[in-house]
Amino acid sequence: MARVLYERDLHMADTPIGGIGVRTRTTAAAAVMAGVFLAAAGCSSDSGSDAAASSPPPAPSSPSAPASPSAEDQAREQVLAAYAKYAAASDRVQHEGRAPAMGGDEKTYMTDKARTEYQAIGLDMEAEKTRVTGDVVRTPAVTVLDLASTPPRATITACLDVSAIKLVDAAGKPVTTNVQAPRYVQTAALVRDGDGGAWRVDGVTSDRQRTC
Amino acid sequence: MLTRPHRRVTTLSVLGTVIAAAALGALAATPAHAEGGCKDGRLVCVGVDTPGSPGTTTPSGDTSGSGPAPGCTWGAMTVQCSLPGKGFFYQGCYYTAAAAPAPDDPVWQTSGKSPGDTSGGFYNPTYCLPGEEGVQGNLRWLPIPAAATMTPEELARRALSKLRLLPPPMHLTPGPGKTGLVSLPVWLWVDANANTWGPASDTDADGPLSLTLTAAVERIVWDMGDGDTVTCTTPGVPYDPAYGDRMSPECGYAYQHISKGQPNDAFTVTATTHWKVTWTASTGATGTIPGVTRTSTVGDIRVGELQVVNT
Repeated sequence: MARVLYERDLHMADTPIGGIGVRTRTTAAAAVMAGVFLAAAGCSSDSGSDAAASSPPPAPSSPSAPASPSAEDQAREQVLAAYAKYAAASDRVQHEGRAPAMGGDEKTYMTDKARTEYQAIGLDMEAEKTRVTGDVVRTPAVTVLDLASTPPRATITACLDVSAIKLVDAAGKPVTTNVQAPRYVQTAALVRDGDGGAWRVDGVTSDRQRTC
Repeated sequence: MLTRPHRRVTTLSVLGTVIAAAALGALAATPAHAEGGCKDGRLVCVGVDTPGSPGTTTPSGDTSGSGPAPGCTWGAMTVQCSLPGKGFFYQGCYYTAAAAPAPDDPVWQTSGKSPGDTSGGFYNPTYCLPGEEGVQGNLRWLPIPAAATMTPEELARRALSKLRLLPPPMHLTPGPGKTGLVSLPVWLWVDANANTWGPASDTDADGPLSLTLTAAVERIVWDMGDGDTVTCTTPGVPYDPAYGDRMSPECGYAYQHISKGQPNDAFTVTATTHWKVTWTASTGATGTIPGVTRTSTVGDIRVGELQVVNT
């Protein structure tokens, strides 16, 4: 049985990417269970998982050997890096309010499924003639890292602070928006292309009413 | 209407722990609210979404504002059915109508279609989604009848350009290099066939618009080179020596002046066919194309005087 705790604050970005501040924070305790990492999101939530964030979950026994911490560390950083690229691209498209040009490098960090939504968002905004202003602050954390599955999978749970985001029309006039929490939870699923391949975002799910 | 988007919880389902159960419970407990066209990756959406308790509905069903039209999907994604500048959505790409290629354009063959096929048309892909990106940039035949991009007049011009209307193959007596005589009949005729005299006909189409065009010579004007012109409405009758010095029954002339003193001591004769071009479109519209002519020229037409010797 192995139990590895990770208590780190990567702060890999605070650097604006395309005008967007991305703050990456991995807090949390993670338990290794047959290569599965569990970590609580780096944000509070009403999901009842706060307890998990503040104290490590009971470590289950596992018959198989855990992946080496270094490989997991590396994977974790790659997962966060892929999400950061996805976030930068997604935020850029929404600031521009139009479909992204084709032929970019998005396919290196997004699956076709994720890219379809990413492009469709640009098309929607193009049709609406809207764009966003202001910066979003994302606080992502790897909450699932399963290197043993085929393909390897990871989940990022991010807190999106959109309180500074405004939706505006072509003239720059604010547009009525949907009601959502100013800080809500977004979950991103990532997959790895084979062993040692690139991690790519496969899709995101937003719980807009779930405050974090 | 207040359907909840599909949630991907498979990563959690493998855990089978108390935590996973708690997380699932939390997801399930999240109040259902309409997100309509608000895609998950959007930071914020247009709308008048009202936070509601689970299961609430509104009479209009419209709680999400202006989401994309529900009609077009690509995979699991709902996409705009059409966009200014990008055209309409069809199987992964946005397309705009392309001008119909010329009938001899190889793209017809590569598409396995014939120019008369009006069950579809050619389109330019302007923007493609993953899965169809290879289509980008290639003219493509789609089974969608093209809206007409040409007016009947434009289509008639194109149909005319495909007809081979040839200059008249002209003949006159006694002919180049020979010397005719003042006052003697000159027979004028042309070799008449569909291409030199008509009628010639063609049918062309652009999307749903089709058109039949007919061209036929309505007159031929012979410029005899001495300042006179002769206008005939028939191709004329070929001369035969059996006719002797009779006049042509249809189209003829008699020079009144010798050609000596002209450049090269000869006349240059020009024959111009004037075509009447009419068309009828599938819309019922009809029209004509004026000013269609074809011209041939023959030089070295010599005319001398009969030397009368009184004995």
